[in-house]
Amino acid sequence: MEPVSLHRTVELEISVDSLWALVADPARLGEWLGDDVRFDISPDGLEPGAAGVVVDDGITRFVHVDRVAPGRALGFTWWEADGGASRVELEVVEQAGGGSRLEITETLAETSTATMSAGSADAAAAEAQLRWEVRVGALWACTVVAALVR
Amino acid sequence: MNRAPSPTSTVLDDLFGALADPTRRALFTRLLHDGPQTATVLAADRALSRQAVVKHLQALAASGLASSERVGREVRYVATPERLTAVVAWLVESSGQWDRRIERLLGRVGAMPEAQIDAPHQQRGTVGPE
Repeated sequence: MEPVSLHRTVELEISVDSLWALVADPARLGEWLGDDVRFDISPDGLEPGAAGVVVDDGITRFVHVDRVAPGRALGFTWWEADGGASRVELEVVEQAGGGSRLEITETLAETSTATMSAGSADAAAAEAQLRWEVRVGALWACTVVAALVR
Repeated sequence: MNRAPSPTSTVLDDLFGALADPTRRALFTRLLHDGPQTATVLAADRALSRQAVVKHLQALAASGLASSERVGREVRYVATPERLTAVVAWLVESSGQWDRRIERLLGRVGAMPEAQIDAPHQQRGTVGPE
């Protein structure tokens, strides 16, 4: 079965550079992505491998950045401590008539979809794998939070 | 103009596509209410061949809405609405969360100094379907 994904497009009257700053500058990203957004970052900004925590609408998600295409795209996986994981891709595109466009795609992780189909022989294994990943991820994100708080 | 068109999902097309056919919908509802049934029993109720019923059940199964189980010499079909329920719940919840994030983003863009805005028009911080 194909993956479950959600797609949104936002057209803006700002340059792609201005929009990219709102996506790739953790402080600016934090102004709209969630109520409380923290990233463990290098002085160069967001890079693949960067970890963070996003609290939005009372939901805490651990974040792992896996793709940074400067000026174009930011990709990350995020997950709740006891919930499913999903991957988010934020793409910055120049508009033909001026301005820019933000393409948002959130895709539910395969393992999360697998647990949704009842009677699947792989579901239990997939769930066990996901739980393991989440536990490891949560431990690692807690370390990040501790580092950030300190 | 800053705008955010409504969300799209191919998976919903897939799930609802499978349920768009009245016969498939009737078979899915019957399985939901009456529990597992064989294609023979399901075909007996309608003016359809057993083969036609099996084809519809396989279409439901391909979308994750039904599955088959072998009981002795019979193959029984079972409704599996969990994926539909979970997918719809996830899409509705995530969609609402992105609405709020986009609203905040539009607010940020609207608050930017003029120099950072390329177009000379007034910023419009509206969110909604196209």
